[in-house]
Amino acid sequence: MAEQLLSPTWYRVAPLRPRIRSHVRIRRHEYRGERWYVLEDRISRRTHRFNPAAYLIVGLMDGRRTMQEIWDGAVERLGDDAPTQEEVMQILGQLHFADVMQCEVPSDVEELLRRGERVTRRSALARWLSPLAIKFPLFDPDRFLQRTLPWYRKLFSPAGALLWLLVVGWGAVSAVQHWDLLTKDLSSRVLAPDNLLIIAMVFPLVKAAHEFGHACAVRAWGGEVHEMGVMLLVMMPVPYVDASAANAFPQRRRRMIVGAAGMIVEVFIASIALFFWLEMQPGVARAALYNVMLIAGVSTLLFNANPLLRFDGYYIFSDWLDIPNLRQRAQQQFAVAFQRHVFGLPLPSEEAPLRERLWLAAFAVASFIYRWVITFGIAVFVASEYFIFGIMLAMWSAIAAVVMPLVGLIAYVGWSPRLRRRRARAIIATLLLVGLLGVFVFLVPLPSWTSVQGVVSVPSQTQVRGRVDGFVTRVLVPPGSMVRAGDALVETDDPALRSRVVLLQAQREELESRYQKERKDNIVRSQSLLEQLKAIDAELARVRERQNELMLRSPADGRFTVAMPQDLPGRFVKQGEPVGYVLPDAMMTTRVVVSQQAVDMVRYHTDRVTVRLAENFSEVLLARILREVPRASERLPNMALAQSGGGEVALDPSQQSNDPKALQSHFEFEISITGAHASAMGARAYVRIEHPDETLAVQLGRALRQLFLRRFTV
Amino acid sequence: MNTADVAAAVSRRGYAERDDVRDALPDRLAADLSVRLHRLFKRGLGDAPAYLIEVERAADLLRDRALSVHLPQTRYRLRRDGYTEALIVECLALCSIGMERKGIAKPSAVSYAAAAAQLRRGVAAVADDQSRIEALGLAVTAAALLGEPVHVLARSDVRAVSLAQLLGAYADPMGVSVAVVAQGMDFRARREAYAATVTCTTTREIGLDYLRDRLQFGARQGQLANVAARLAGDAPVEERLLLRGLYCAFVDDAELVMIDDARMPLVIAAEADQSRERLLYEQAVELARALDEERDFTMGDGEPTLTDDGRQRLALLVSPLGGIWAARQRCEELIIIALRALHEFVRDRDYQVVQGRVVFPTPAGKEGEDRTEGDELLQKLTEVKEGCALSGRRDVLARVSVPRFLNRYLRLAGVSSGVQSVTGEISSLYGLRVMGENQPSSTVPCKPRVFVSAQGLLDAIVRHALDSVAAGYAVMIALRSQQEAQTVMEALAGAGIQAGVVRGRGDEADRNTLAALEEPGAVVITCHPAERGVTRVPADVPLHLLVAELHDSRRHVEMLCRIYAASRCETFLALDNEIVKTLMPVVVATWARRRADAEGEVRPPWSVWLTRRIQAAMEREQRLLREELQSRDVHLGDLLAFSGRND
Repeated sequence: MAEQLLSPTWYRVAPLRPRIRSHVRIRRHEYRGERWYVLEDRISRRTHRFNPAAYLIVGLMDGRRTMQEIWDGAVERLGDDAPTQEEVMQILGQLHFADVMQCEVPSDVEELLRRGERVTRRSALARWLSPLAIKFPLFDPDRFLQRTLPWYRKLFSPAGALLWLLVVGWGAVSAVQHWDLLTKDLSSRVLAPDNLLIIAMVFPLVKAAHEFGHACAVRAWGGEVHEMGVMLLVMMPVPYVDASAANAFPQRRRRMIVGAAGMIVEVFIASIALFFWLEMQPGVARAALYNVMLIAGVSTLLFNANPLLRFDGYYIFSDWLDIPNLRQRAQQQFAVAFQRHVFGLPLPSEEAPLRERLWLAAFAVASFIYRWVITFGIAVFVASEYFIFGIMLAMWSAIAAVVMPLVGLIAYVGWSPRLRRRRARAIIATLLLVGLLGVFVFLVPLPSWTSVQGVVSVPSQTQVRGRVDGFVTRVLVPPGSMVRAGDALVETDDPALRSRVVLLQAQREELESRYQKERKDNIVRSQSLLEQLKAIDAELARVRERQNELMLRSPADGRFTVAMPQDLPGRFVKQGEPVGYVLPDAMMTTRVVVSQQAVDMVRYHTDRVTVRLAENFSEVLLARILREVPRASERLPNMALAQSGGGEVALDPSQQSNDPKALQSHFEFEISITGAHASAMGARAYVRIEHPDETLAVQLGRALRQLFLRRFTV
Repeated sequence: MNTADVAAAVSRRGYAERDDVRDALPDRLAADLSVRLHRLFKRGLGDAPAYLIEVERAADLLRDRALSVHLPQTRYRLRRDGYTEALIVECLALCSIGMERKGIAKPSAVSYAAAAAQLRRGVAAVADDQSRIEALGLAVTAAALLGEPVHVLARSDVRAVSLAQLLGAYADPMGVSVAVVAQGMDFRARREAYAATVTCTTTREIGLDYLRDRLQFGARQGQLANVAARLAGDAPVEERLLLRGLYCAFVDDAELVMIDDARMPLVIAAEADQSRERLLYEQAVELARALDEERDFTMGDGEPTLTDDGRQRLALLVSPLGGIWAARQRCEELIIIALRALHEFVRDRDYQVVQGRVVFPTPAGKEGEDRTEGDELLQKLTEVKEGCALSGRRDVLARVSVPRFLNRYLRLAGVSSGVQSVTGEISSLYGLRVMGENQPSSTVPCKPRVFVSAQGLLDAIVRHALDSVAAGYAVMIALRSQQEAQTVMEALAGAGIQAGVVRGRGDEADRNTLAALEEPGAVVITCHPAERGVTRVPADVPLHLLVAELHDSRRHVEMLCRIYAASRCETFLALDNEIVKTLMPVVVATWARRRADAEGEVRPPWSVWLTRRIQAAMEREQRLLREELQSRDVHLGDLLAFSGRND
């Protein structure tokens, strides 16, 4: 049987002749191909949506027709789609709660007073529960906007869009062209104390322009803006404006533009700032322009455009999806699904199309996780900056974000009249879920590991070095061949040595003949000549030895590797200079840096070490820790491990560029890689040091303890 | 509420009644905690003998002068200070003096303590009937000393008349007038009765009279509206009102009136114009007759289902009609109900035509509930089929639930024989504390019997009745519905037993039927709760009570045992009973069936456990229904606040 058409309490409303109050405007909208009617209350600035069937009821309320007549007409006109009497009473109730309906009989004053108190209490509670986002409405900008309307109205037109595109387009191209200049020494530039002062002065001005962008967009298309003020966002004063009148715009494009107007203005300002920054000489003004670009260009896109928090990006996203009240509906859908499937409440199923439900589900999960992460991050940031006060503030906001919803859940499960018939099941299901979560967090061991990076290198004893100065004449063994220790690899030649040998040999022969001659006649002289002979012999032996060393031999068993072997013949090799390597495959190593937070785990709780090389990421190689450098150091074994080299280690910006040091001291470990090819030398190695499995609680507890130690030294 | 608050309540709308105040959460929690602590530590009536001594001491001080000297002063202080402890003692002392001077026997100490408990706005639980009447009489008389109207609410007209006679003995010495309002009295008689200081009536009668007064006020209420109406030449609204306000009420049988009757709303309805509807139903019946069985619809499990051909044919037939026939789904639903009326329901089997009216039997447990829309349509279509006049579609003009109505009294109290099992509900619905004695449980243990099938249950009842008759017992069979009573009567008749039936009117016929129980071998069937005024004194003939249907509460069964002085009691349940099936999980029912013997009876101790479980589930269900009704009242009150002050 279809839902019951009649209601036993219909008699209460049947003779009433209600009408909609005169300050209300109704407009037709389209959402996802469906027609809706949006009722705009111009006093409270709230909007309400009605479907066509509900609108038929609302539209017929003219103060002369009784509700009975209206309902009879609706039934005749709408047939099966006609709302039931209960639904009509719900509509009337909603209109009454929204203060947009008037009847010829006075309302129940007690209910009005109760509702007023409830609204006041909720507003006060909302303010207390958001200590990091407190609003201070300051003035009504509508008259100002009205007076200046001729100045900015034309900006919201195709011509204005074209101008914007030209300027911002030029700005984007210039930014790319001057990227190096813009990003050079970014952190030192931005974080320098004098620059922070400039940022603090520039930020409110840029954001004020942002908010005026929203306000002007609303006014340009006929909406009204009646509230503008300052919001303390994480203790930072930020202007805000109430642009909710845009909800009543029928055109989706306009609603989206209102949402994006702030970012549009900021990006435009950033482009203008870039133009002047490129032309100006260094100084305070130029620094200020740089900060304007940073705030208006980078921060607004990074933060405001995020749809998971209720900033501009959220409203743009919501309008783009054609799903108004996206977050509220997503939470409601989740709550209804949870209550239906877990608590077994017989709630009506969602009537929205599947795609819309999927969007709502995805948004609910993503925004929930993101909100927790952000809340925690803000709490840590505030606490690290203003310790005691910040801890209190952080706890306060954590209570609002975590404790209050928990209390609400407990109160709902324990005492809500809705769960009257299913309270046992609700309690058991909730306890079961909490238990499962607890088991997962406290009992289920999860993999634990530390990820670090290194650069593959070889031990020094595997290098083939020139033992004496010489010119390479021949490479005797093809590079890549396997050789044994002592094999001749590269032939070098020193003509000077050859001449020296000839000369020494000639000298020796001369001395030898003289010695033979003098030996009979002059013993003293012959002894002297003998000494000279010995010296020549020694010299000759030394030179011959050096001649032998011209042949470069393999220091170990392995694969003979030469970088650019074709360039070797004819190349001058100094004594000690490496010419190539003999790489035993089993002896590739890498030096990694481990942070102070992770060093204990690496030292004492390593189960296994694996390595992936950048050149062959899919292959996992086994490794082991060979040794640890005993002392912490701020120097890096290889600059490729720094952020500027593509690594993860941040360098201290205050240090000179010829003596770079890491921002934090760390510990070095040498790791030998099994099965690495010699060709991997110099490649980046991604090392994963696996520890024994630990529960999530232990891992989080350790991270939290380290966080407190690192940030708060407690 | 003190006099100033009463004056404020009266002046706001010209009619004394309490606002529907909703306490804030801290207040509710505090009140709940207070009630719980009270139940833990102070359940009884206190030291009744000591209280009596205190009253007598006060009476000693007041005895020297005539009552006519004391009463005005007492009244003045009551209006100024309200019912303080000292003034309660003084009022009871004055009542005591009045009775003494008229030669009326002094009430017991428990009666005084129970009267004081009521004057402190509580429900007094007193086991003894005589003490209960005395307590009520004292409390009513003491309350009447304030000079404001006092209403005494009983469960039935018979009881109301009986109470008026009994309370007169306590009220007369104090010069307090007592009157009765019963069903069938006209406007003038009612108005005169309500003009008396104490009026005894039923909740139903006074509730409907209250709704009639509300209809007189209309949507606008208040002194200003009254003055405006008078200036416009209308008769003063006071002349059109029955009641003088809801000042004070004492409820007899509090657990029955405040709890058991709480589900049934009080409704004033008017006959609606049904000419348009008749045309619609006649069209529906004609369309249903035009459809072919097998081609246009099929009868599966006795219920008709339209085929695709049938739908198409129907769409073709209704297309020229327009109006509500344009709604396809509702059109098909209406036609299906018409087909049911034509093909499924048979005259004299499923319904009867009595004096030109179609009468469908009310299902057990659904008495007093609103009928569903489907049932209403079936009724109407059957009436059209039989060519009868359409039964009145009654448009509701005013409606109020019993708890909501009783909570509108400025002062509410009650007396009962034993309410311990519903103490929490009384305090949550009415904010009243229950004080008093625990009603001793029935001296007769009720042996539970559970059967797998209804037929097995019926056979067992007949068998037990025969056995008891043969053993010289009188037998009373307690049921809930007329249909079941009919079935049992036929089964007994088949076994050669002619059973009398108590109609529940409390009249001569009922008394004669109950008098038959003095004879061994008499068998009586009752479908109604025991009336207080109709009791059976334990006689030489023992009574065997067979409770053959699930009752709303265990205390109803205990009350039956007490009032009819049963010597033996057995309760019977069938696992395939519709109500039992909804209260018991399928798993438990399946398990219970396996515990049955060859005769289909579940063996003890499983039958004991099952009975307790099912009875507890029934009580819980009733409690949930009452809570839902209250929640719905609150929700509707807010939702429909735009329509003015709600009923």
